[in-house]
Amino acid sequence: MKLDSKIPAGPVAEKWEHHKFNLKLVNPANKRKYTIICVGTGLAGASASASLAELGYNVLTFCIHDSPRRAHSIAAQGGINAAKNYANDGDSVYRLFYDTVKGGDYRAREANVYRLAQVSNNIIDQCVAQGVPFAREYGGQLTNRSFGGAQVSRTFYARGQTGQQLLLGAYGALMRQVDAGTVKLFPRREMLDLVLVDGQARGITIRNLITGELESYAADAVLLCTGGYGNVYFLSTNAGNSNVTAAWRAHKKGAFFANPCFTQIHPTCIPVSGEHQSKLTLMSESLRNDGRVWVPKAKGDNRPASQIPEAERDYFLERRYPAFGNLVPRDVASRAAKAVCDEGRGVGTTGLAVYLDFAEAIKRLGEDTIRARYGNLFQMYEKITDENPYQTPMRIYPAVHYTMGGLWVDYNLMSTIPGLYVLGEANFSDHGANRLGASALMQGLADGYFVIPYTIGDYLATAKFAKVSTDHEAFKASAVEEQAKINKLLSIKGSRTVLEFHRDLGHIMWEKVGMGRTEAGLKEALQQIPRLRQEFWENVTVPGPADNLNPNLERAGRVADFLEFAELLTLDALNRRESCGGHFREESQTPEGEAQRDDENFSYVAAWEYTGDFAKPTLHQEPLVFEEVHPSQRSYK
Amino acid sequence: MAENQGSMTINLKVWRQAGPKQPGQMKSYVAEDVSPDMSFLEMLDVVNESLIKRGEDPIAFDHDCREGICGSCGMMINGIAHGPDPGTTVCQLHMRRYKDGDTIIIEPWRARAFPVIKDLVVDRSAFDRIIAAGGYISVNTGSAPDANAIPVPRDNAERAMDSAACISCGACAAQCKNASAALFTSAKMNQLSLLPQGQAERSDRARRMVLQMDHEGFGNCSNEGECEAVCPKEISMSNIAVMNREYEKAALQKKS
Amino acid sequence: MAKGAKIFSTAVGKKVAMALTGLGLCIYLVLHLAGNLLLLTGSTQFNAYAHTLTAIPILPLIELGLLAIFLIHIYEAIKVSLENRNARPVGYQTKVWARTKSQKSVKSVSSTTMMWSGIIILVFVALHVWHFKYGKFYAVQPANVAVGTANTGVATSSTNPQEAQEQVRDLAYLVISEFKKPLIVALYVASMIVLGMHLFHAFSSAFQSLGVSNPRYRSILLRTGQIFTIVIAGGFAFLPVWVYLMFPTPPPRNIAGPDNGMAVVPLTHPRLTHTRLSQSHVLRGGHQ
Ligand SMILES: Cc1cc2nc3c(=O)[nH]c(=O)nc-3n(C[C@H](O)[C@H](O)[C@H](O)COP(=O)(O)OP(=O)(O)OC[C@H]3O[C@@H](n4cnc5c(N)ncnc54)[C@H](O)[C@@H]3O)c2cc1C
Ligand code: HEM
Ligand code: FES
Repeated sequence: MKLDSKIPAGPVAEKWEHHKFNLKLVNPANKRKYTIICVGTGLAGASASASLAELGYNVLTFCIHDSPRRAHSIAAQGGINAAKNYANDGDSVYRLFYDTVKGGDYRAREANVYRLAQVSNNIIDQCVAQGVPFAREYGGQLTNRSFGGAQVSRTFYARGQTGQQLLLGAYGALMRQVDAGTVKLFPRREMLDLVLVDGQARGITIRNLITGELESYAADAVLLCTGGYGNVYFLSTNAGNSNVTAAWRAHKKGAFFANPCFTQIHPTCIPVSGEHQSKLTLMSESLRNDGRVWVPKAKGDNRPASQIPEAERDYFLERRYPAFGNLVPRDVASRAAKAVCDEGRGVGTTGLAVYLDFAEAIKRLGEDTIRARYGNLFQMYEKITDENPYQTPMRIYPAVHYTMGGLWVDYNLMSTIPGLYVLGEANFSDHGANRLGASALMQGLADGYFVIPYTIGDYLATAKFAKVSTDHEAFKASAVEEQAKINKLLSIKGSRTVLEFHRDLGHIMWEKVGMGRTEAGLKEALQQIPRLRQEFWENVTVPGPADNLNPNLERAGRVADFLEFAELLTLDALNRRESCGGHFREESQTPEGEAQRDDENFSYVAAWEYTGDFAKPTLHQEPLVFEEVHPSQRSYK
Repeated sequence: MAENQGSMTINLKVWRQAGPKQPGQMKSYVAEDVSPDMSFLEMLDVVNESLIKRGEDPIAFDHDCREGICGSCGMMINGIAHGPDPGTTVCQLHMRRYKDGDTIIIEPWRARAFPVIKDLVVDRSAFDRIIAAGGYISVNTGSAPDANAIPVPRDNAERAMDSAACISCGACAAQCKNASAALFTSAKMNQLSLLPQGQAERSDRARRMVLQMDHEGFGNCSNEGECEAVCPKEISMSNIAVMNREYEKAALQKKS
Repeated sequence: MAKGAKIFSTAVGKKVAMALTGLGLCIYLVLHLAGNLLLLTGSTQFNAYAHTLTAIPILPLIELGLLAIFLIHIYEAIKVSLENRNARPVGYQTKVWARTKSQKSVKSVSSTTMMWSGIIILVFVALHVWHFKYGKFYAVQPANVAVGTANTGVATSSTNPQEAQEQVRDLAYLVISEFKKPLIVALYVASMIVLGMHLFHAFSSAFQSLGVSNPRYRSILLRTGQIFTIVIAGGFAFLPVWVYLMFPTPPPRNIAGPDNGMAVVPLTHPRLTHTRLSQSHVLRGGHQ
């Protein structure tokens, strides 16, 4: 199968306009004859469901949570980018496009990123009209803050709760349609399978998490807006329910998975405090504006921070990157922190942490200024660690935060399965090998509000649809298969818990497929993962009922999928023998230890096709063509 | 520094209920090896792990983000919603709050409008229906004017944000002696009525949201402010006064 | 009208009704207390005030209105309380006040016992009305009403029919003589403490229900409510105590008469009562 990205011809700035004009339309009266399934109610899913329902389609919307408003988008803190140039500091659609392509280390599609930058402004308009309480100036105008990877101030924010507010805006729009009867909402439902009829995505099999029953839903198109797969690492800043299940099952039905090895590791998270740890908490990137990162110069120096004299401290970011200092991009900062910890110079009881020290800033600016800037973060830190960061330096460590990879989609956001669309973090499209801060929210809403409403019409208007109901064989077969899987999980009755397997998998992934990846390590992981998977299917224990709420059973299914998916992620990492963005192959670095891209051999999207054998997926390459921005080596010295 | 200062043994009394229709009861468990650095939910994870190992059904509770923003978690801990720390969700509560040998009683939210689904998990969809009854500004995608075309005084934006911080966890109604949803409903109403964009639907919104709140079977507000005291986002009960005012204005307005 | 009823039928509407009626009663309490305190200035003033009041032609209407307000308040109180109980069919095994966690709660003994304090007030009001309004009828000459016997609190009674025509009720005497009984005083003081408990939560709560509360003035409102409570409940409780301690005991009155205490007199109507006055100094009232 040849990958067709359907990128329109013409200059990058005009592609989307032309494309919109060329797309076929569904006439307003006919829209209600089409049913669209939307799985997920994060920024992508909620915005898509609402917008499609407003257009007149029948929408069925599903989510795992008890309320659509709890999707993981709610946790985003920092902000959302847009090329409004309200700050009059030289921003433009082109500059946002340029920064994002460069920030992604030249592994994203230019056309997609340009469109993203173009609609970014409409997103802000839309959200403001919905009543999202963005931060404002005294004159009543919107205000901006700066984020990493940009020299302009273009990030809109609502305190430290931007994701929450944007999601509540989209959720409101969604609930309005629920009220109008155009969206039917199905919370506490988990998609387990995609149902194809004549090769088209025509429905889903879901598990009702309260009754345990499997239910089938038929439609004319299916949107997956199911978020990222960061939890394959067990510990991440993702929420507990974030999973790869929907995407993975769709992959097994024929959707290609693109660049799964592109994962982002955020440098400033609260470190692990013990085995019991269930998740990691992000401390906003903005802290690095005033905090200085250091570790003791000597190995195993376990004196309290205050007793380590200045001369015996190593401000390693400032030392290694004098030009950018503590403000190097996420991937660079994360790797540097890992390196000093690997040398045995990490701090805290686990030795897996570095200091983020505000003492100097407090001396220079006063505690009040620091409190005004970061008060809520300091408070959150203290709540979790019981340490006062005004007095002792914060301890931070990198953690998995975002996944750039995802199901492959074309310019219309359609996967390799006709009628299956993928939106938001679940697709691979816009961030290349590294996502810049404040651009995931932008992408989720762009996909849902401003892309899918146009592109789906083209498919619905042109594709041929057989009459399909849930009585169709394909639905029954899918349900039988999924029920068998559930029964199997319940019947193993082994001796290890799902959590233990998940933790073990996370351990392998973090050690071997984490911040620094080597061929040897990846190959080891490829030995270990299938073994763990096999053990899982032989020795897991999942007590509790099948016909009732059973969160442990839900988790078992998700971990089972992670155990399969992890292998693909690792294979992709092994295949990509270059370093780029969040993917760092230790074999491919500059003499100074920086990431070394290999544009000649790897300037492509790796789209993997499932073959039935986890060890042997087929690789399809979509070459990346750069007409506007010319790839160059990033340097932060 | 409170890093792993020994481990504690905690006695738990937890409400166990197999399903919505089944009867429930309090059951005792012992959580061993509890580290002071654990969050409350991590402590429950440990208990659940041992239950699973014994082949028993683990304690069901809702949780997701574990950083106090999604609003999934929530339980009564020793008779108080989200436990003893102000401005804190259960997932942000840490075990260093407790002493070795403490007994902790854990119950689900109780309200007619929040029926128990299982153990500590309740159905909070009533809140979604209250929002569906008008907790939004009706604006179709694509029809918005430029964001800066509608200036909003900074003070209003800030106050709107205070109200908008609600995470819909349900603690307000759970703690209220009347199981009233007034704080939840009013927070959203106030957010929207503070913004110029929210004016057009103002009275309709007030009427419909209040009616829906009643319809769901929540109680009336006795103005005790227990809701504010347990709200993890410390949303003020002044919002309720605003709701009352909005409702009165709406009721007095002529409407066909 | 149907619409009006609907407004008050919601959670907010019912509380608005309670607040309006409650505040209405509060206004009444203020007026009533002011009137009562006139006793301190002398029986004559007090009796004159009582007389003026009873002379208002639409007084029955006003009293009916007051009764209606009271009944609406009680009706809503019962309805609201039943609904509240219904909103949590299964209770908690352990429940603690959120005050232990944050001072933001204003829950108090007062706020948790509103129904009980209300019921006690109801009983008290019934007793009180029976005790004073429909209580013993001592008469006093209008002249004395005007001139007064000042602080002695003792009014003379007359058997002269001519004068009896103009006699009015000597409420001051009744009040003073009653408040010389320690049990009565104790009962009144206790009831006023209960009233105070009701008001302690009720006053600020009513403003919150009406939506006139606002974050900036909330603490002022709470404070005002407390002061109001102390002034009203304290004021009402003060009078019996003061009378008991400081007033000279009035001489006993002759209350003999043919239909002693059994006269059927709509006491709210002074002109009617006059006709009977010559026969009896004391009329014990009752309904029909
Ligand atoms: C701590 C944190 C902070 C962040 N801060 C920022 C920031 O400041 N700026 C920024 O731009 N980005 C930020 N991000 C990234 C950004 O929040 C996410 O990438 C984005 O919100 C993802 O949105 P989504 O709609 O794709 O998916 P999600 O919001 O994750 O939604 C997934 C939805 O799918 C549903 N679902 C999943 N699987 C299934 C299934 N099998 N069946 C049914 N339903 C399913 C879920 O219930 C949910 O509704 C942050 C991320 C984290 C973790
Ligand atoms: C002098 C007489 C009374 C006065 C001045 C008075 C005043 C008030 C006021 C102002 C409120 C506050 C309303 C609100 O919260 O909005 C209130 C509440 C209340 N009153 Fe009264 N009241 C009186 C008598 C009674 C009686 C006789 C009863 C019952 C038999 C009663 C029962 C209640 C109850 C139960 C509440 C609380 C309602 C709730 O919890 O929301 N009251 N009262
Ligand atoms: S789990 Fe999200 S708020 Fe507690």
